[in-house]
Amino acid sequence: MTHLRPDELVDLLDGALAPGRAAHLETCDLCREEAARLAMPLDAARGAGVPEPSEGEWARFSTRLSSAIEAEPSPGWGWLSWLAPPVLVPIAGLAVLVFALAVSVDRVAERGGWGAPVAVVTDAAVDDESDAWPALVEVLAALDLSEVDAFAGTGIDVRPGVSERLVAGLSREEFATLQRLIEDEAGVAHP
Amino acid sequence: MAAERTSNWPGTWAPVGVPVSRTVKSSDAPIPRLADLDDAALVAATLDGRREAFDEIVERHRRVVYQLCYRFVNQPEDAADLTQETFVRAWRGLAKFRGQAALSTWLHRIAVNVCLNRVALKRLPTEPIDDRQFVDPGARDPHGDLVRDERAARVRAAIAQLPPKQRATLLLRVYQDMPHEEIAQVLGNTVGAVKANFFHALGNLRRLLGEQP
Repeated sequence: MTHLRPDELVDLLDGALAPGRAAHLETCDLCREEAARLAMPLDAARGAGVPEPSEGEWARFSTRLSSAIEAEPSPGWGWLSWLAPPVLVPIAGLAVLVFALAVSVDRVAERGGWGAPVAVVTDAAVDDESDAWPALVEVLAALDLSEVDAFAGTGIDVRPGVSERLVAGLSREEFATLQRLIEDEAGVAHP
Repeated sequence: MAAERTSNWPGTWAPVGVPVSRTVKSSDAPIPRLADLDDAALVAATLDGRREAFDEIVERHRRVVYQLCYRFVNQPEDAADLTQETFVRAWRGLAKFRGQAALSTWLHRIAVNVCLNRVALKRLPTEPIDDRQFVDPGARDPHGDLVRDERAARVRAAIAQLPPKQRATLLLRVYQDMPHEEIAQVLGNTVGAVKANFFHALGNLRRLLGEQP
């Protein structure tokens, strides 16, 4: 009868060797020795524990993992995860800037071109007839400010939809200030 | 007397694996502690936006994942990094976890892939098998524990020197008690290849350890 193959020796270690082959083992010293040689490192491996990290090491691990998770989008968003605040906030800021600049360019064109120095963004950018206003509100409404760390602990109500209401309630002057702040953040020079 | 009502679950979310409808008293409806929920319920709660539920998942499984990673690289700092990477990937992919396998199995699968990717990118340092001293100052039986720890350290060092697939096979089979069929799925091998890897892993381990365990 043929000796046990490697997979049969593994089955033997698992206690799953076919009965017919187990009969061979009873009469074959070579296979029994081979099985014993495999059992030795297996027993050694089973008995080898791992040093346990200290409480302090686990605490540092938890802190690092929390920071890493905070930088990730929510796992339940699926393909919408690109809308997570770490991605959406800069996109929203850029979108606001583009809308503001687009409106300003329209104003420049109406005034006869780039010959005279003009403000890149002025109060004139806020115009009830402009397409920029509803578009801006729509962009900012998509923000879930509750995910933005900057609001943590400030006591500011940051439930979803709050950003939309906040922006919709801005006066013309407040909106101009918001634009200016975004320009400052983006490094746009004021005239 | 408190009026009874039928409730889905206290709170705003309904975890998987929890009876959907049950009768509770409105005045004394128990608020479930996260630690009391099973893994499936914690996954559902996490996907429902409860970040602290994922913290509980981490708390529950981090030790076993760390041990798997430690055995793979035999180095505590790298093991901690790999454990962190495992849970970050689990967070990213949690929506894809369908519960066909236990959460622990799914985490082990991620951990092994993280470890295999790491060793593919970087050859991790391994310590000489015969040159190790391991001192545990907190041991109650200094001599006995020292001998046992030295032996364990030698075995861990030997395992860390196995080829990556043999190492992964050995770790999943011996420490995670994973069936060969499941290991084959994790590693993208056939069952025959898994058994061959396990056979060769034991043979190499025996050679690395010498004849003395």
